[in-house]
Amino acid sequence: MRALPAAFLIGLVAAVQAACAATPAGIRLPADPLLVSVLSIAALCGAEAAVLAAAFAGMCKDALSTGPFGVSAAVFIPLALLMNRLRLARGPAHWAVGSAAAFAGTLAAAALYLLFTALRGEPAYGGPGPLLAAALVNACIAPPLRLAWRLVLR
Amino acid sequence: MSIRNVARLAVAAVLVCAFLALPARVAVSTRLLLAQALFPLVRCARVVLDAPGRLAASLASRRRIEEENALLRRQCAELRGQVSALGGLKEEKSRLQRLLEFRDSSPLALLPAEVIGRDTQRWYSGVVIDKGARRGVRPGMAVVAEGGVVGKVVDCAPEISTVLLIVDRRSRVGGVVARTRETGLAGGSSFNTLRLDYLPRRPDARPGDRVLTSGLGGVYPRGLEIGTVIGVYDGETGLSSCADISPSVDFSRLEAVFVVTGRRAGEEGDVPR
Repeated sequence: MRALPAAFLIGLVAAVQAACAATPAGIRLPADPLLVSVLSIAALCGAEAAVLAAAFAGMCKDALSTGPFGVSAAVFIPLALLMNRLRLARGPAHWAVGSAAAFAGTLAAAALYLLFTALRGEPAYGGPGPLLAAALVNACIAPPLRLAWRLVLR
Repeated sequence: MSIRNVARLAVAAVLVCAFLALPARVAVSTRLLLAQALFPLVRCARVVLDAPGRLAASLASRRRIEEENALLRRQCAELRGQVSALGGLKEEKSRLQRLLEFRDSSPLALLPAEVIGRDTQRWYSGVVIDKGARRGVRPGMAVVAEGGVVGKVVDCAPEISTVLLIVDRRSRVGGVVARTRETGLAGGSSFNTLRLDYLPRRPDARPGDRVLTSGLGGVYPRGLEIGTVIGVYDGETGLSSCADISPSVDFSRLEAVFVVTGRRAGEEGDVPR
């Protein structure tokens, strides 16, 4: 894995995600491109790289938010490891498989988020509606994003 | 499960636990460090993301500015009209104030009147006022204005009267030069000027002297301003001198006048007819 460009791109995705929410027009992304990126990277490279990318992506996400620092990384790491073990989305059906992985990954991330916030004794945010919307949008953006990551990591 | 995989899982679990149990100080410093590092990216992303919004806002604001401009132009025109009207009202108020002060300060009983018409024939100088016999106006009554003598009433209808101006050739007013007390008889000579006849042969009067009514003749009360001497010369017969007088009243702008109906109670002196 090309660590430096990957780290830069992860940072860029995190920045775009943060900037979208902060625009005067209020572009609230229902998607989580960072989560989808982590899932893509985990499916495309080795376990060590997946864990490192997940940790970095989680930290970037939390650094640009006002939420508790560390929860995103804690959510992303097991997801990345799981995705790496499953090695999904290879072959001609990678679009559909990638979408399904993103959809399931979002739900899993939400479950982990709830679990970890409960462990930290902090209130959790979000509800079933936004969560489902995020899962659907993540499923939509997963194939092109995975393709982009594949080009970067090649 | 191989040892390698177990090791990976263990590392991941340790990392997860470490992130969940990050000490507050470490969390804060790491967050700040990362945020600082990501700041240029965020700024670039903001610039790119804001561009469409800025463009749309610019177009919208241009349209809004054009609408505002049109509205402001309309308001400006309306306000100009109002300012102009207010200016006219202010002048009118000032004029009426002066007339009121003149009436109040005069020892004469004055009936205010408005000039509602003028002579249409060039060789007569007269005006029509909006007060007549019904308000006590009688032929022969003197008519004055803020500046001085205007003329005398010659005809009366119930609601209007005709006033012969002192610049008319038929007018005669007893006058006295205020500084020298030389007396004469003033009357209209040419358009908008008066001539004071029958001054002494070598008069002391000179240009700039004020000429007042002498009170002789019983029409005009004593002491009203007729005008200012603008030239002194010998009379046609050589027995007396004459003086040209510029009237103190601007007859071309005559709007409000007063008919002298008598003297106010408690005031002494001449009582005009």
